[in-house]
Amino acid sequence: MKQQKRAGVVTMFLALYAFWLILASRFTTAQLIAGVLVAALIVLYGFDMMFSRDEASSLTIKRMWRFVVLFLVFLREMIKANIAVAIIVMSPKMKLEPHFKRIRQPLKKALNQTLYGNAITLTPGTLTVLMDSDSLVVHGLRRPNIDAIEGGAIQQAFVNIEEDGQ
Amino acid sequence: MIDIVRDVLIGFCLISGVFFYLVGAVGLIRMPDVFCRMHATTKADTLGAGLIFVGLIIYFGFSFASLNVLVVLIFVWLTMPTAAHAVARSEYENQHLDKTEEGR
Amino acid sequence: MIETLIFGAMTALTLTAFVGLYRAYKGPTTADRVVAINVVSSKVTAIIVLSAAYAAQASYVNVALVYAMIGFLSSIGVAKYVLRGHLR
Repeated sequence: MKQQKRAGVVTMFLALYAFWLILASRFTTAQLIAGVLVAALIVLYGFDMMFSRDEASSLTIKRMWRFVVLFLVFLREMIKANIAVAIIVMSPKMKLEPHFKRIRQPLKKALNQTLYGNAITLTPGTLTVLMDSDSLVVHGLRRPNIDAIEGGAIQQAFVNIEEDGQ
Repeated sequence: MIDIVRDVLIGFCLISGVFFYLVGAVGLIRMPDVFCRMHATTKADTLGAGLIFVGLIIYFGFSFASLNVLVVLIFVWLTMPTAAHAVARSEYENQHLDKTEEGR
Repeated sequence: MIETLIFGAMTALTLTAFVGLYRAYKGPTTADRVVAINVVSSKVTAIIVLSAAYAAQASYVNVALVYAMIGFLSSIGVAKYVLRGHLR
């Protein structure tokens, strides 16, 4: 427990310091020292904002690789979604059947659930409206869109990230 | 030669990014209700911003400017769908308040 | 050449931002207006980053980051206020 907390503090500090260096864009002594101070202050007062063990799954090499795969799948779906939206918007007579539907939520960790909801919003014809720990309310533009979520490539990639690799 | 490839890539990214922003704007005008409008704007704006930022990352080359643009890109890609979800949720609960009646 | 293209992209984005303003003026519900303002603010973010490239001033990009943060916070704030009637 103690060790996990220390690892969390170090990770958060390094991430904040890297963010500071990117924003500062130059490496004078004053910049480096100010970055250390600011990052330390934020870690001191904002450590409870860091993801805990039951909110995010731990980072392993395997998970990172699966995350890259997920990102590529997501990118493909998103480009498809945008072309579909462009076709719908540009067609002179829009054929829409907007409706809401409640679907099952397969994920357990809070961070993965958030990313899953965002991914659903960005993939073809679906928009996350409500979300809780075991179901999602999704708004769809056309009937087949929502049915494509369950068992689709995106959902499979998210389930892969959450599974095993402990 | 490599300059021409770079220019063509930048031009492609910028033009398609502006095109998707245009799709979002047309959707904002033409779609029939709030949720449908949100479909058009969220998807199109997110991809449009991504394409424009990728084009500018190629334009700035390997420097701190493109790292900054990358930070803006990640931030926009995380927050656009989140903001859409917040707005959609508030609108949905406002519309269905009298039907569900959870005594909120 | 590329500079001309960047300037053209900025102009086109500015023109489409007025479409968003029209929806914010017309929109029947509050959510319509919030969505429209969100669209305008995302366009402005892109315009600021483009102008950083046009003026060759890398530090303008940080302005765009802060602008995106403010736009996100304001739309979350308005959504919460519409939902609950207060901000706590």
